[in-house]
Amino acid sequence: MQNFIGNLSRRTLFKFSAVAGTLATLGTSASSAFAARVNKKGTGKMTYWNHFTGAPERAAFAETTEAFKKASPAIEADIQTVTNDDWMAKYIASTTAKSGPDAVMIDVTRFTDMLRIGGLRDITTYNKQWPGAASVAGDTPAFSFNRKVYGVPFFTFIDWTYYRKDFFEAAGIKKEPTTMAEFREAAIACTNPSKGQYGFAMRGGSGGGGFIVNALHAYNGSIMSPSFKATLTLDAAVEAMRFWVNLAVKDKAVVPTVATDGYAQIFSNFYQGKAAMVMHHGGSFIDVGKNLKYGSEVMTLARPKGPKDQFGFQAPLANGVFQHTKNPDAAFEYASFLGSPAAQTVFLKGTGYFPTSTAAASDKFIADNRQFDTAIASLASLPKTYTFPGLTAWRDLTCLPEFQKCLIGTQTPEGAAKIIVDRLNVVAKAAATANRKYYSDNRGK
Amino acid sequence: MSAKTLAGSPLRGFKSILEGKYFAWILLAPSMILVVAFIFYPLYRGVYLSLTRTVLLEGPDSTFIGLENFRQMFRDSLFLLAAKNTLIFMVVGLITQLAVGLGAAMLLSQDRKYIGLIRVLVVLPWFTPPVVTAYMWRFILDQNSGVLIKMLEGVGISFGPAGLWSNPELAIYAVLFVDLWASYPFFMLFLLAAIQGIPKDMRESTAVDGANSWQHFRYVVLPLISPVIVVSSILGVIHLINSPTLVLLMTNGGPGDSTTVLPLLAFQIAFQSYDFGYSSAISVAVLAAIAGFAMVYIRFAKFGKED
Repeated sequence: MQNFIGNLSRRTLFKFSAVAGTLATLGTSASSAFAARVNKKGTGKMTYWNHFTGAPERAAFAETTEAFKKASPAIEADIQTVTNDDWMAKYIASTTAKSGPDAVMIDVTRFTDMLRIGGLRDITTYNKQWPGAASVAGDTPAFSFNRKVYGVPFFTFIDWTYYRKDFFEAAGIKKEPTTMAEFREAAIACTNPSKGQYGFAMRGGSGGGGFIVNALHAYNGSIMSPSFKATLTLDAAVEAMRFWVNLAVKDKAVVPTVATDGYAQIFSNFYQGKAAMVMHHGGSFIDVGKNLKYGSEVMTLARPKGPKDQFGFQAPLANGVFQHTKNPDAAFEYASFLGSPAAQTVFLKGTGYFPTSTAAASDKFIADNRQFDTAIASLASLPKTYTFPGLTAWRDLTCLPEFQKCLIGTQTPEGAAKIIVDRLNVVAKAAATANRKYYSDNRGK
Repeated sequence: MSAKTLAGSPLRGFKSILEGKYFAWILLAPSMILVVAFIFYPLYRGVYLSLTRTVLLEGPDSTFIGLENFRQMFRDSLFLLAAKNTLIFMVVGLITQLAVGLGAAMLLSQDRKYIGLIRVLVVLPWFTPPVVTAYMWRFILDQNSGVLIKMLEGVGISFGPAGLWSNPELAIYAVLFVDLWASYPFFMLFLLAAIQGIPKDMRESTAVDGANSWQHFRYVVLPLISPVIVVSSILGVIHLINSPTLVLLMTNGGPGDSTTVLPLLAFQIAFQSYDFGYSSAISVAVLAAIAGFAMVYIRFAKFGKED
């Protein structure tokens, strides 16, 4: 050995040193790379905005927050509720001011709008390093754009119908309605105005825009192409509007206050026995069970099939990281915690929201509950929701008012359909223009 | 310290600053900075945005388009409908709130037992947050479960099966009724203070002259409180034009567009369509209307001082 060292020339020694140094550097890099595969643990205060105002949802949030405190004691989570009416106003104000929450809830229909406005942070790297990502990978594309991830899926809204089993039996309905025609027949059969009882509590008031989009999709199929070309035909729009308007105006099978009935009113009517059917999603499952007895009084039912597709959507909801947060580690830690099977199971049992996590979806709560057979069947048949820039404005400021006008008799279904189609064409053109601009502004970023 | 020693000390410079004309500006500076930051700059931004195309979905940049947004405004049938509704809201709201406020002030100006407590109770609606007021009355006037609706039906008054909120002719008046409940104490407080400022012996004098209560009110009270009526009316109008909260929460402009008012339209265009340029143009138009009333207000306030 001594001879060997003694025989080393300076050049050879340098070569050895260089190789050793390179190996050492590679080793350090490798260990760093290994370390980087795990997200950095968050600390400090983390503010989260959600738009849930229902009592069961808030209770479920309280429970998950307690669990998060135990899982991440170094993070102080401040959970804040912003109502849906105020959501975009506050989000825009925060994005413009570059100061707001650390983590935010992302409804899939708002995703493109929230992204374009600039308040969502690219969490692709975080997501890659999060071990739970595979469990929710099925819904992650709904919150991705240009191969970048912006949200961790939390649960899925699965649209379904609740119906009064006792009313159906009294009306002699033996088969659950599966088509639009059967749905109409059932609604008419359950209607008895002298008793103040109607077939359907339709949401024509606040939040009813989504109902119209469901109707248009069921009669037309997709209403917007991926390249932002409006594909809604006038004929389909007229048929969709005629069906639902006539159910209320001609068949009189809908609670007469429909034009202004929002969530609170349709469920109040349903619970009080003024309506035999109400359409909503799994998130009201526990609340319905507190008011009516599953099995004998109330049952869940898959949404009826329209000429082109089933009425309704399966729509995931996610949590993302606010672009201007000073605490992205803690924000992602919270968002990913809500994406974990444990948190999703708490939410499932507290509200009924269907988990996006494959592990949570196999929970006994779902497997042993007959009512959730509807959700499982709907997962295979309900179309997946889609969104485009300007969807929410078109839905809430064009579709809903036009539908309401039909219900109160100041507009015809044909007139409303024409305005809805024309306006969608304008939205599509604006979306295509905005998309080109967005791509060119963000090229290389 | 003598004047001689002061003249030669550094305090001399400080004294000259205190006595100089710039000192007033130094004292005014903090207030002026606040006024510029929180009044003039937002105003300037609002007016500037109204002259641009600023649609957040296309990015945060603004493109100057001159008066195009204002031209669009007068071609927009929804804007014209909202302007008409705003006018109805303003005129009916002002007349009813002033009348009820004046009546309440007259009643509460009398010296009675527990009058202090009654005055506090009567003012309570004004303290209630608009969100609470909106949701509470939305249910009280609900066709299917509203307490007041059921009571009215009991005495033969019905709004039909669709109810108040689904009736495009009546919905705006239902909101006005709720605004009356929430806002009449504002008028009442102003007018009660004015009425209490009238010397009590004036009633005795008019009684001696043979004037009845109505004549005393018409020829003595009303002229004396008229400056307060004018000022409170102008403030009330500013509130009525500029406050979309109740409409937003109770009808959101519906059914259809029947209760859409200008500030609500501006809010929807900004935060649902993300078109801040057009929304700002509507806001500037509303601002111009309010500024007109504000000018009247300032003029009357000055008139009051001269008196």
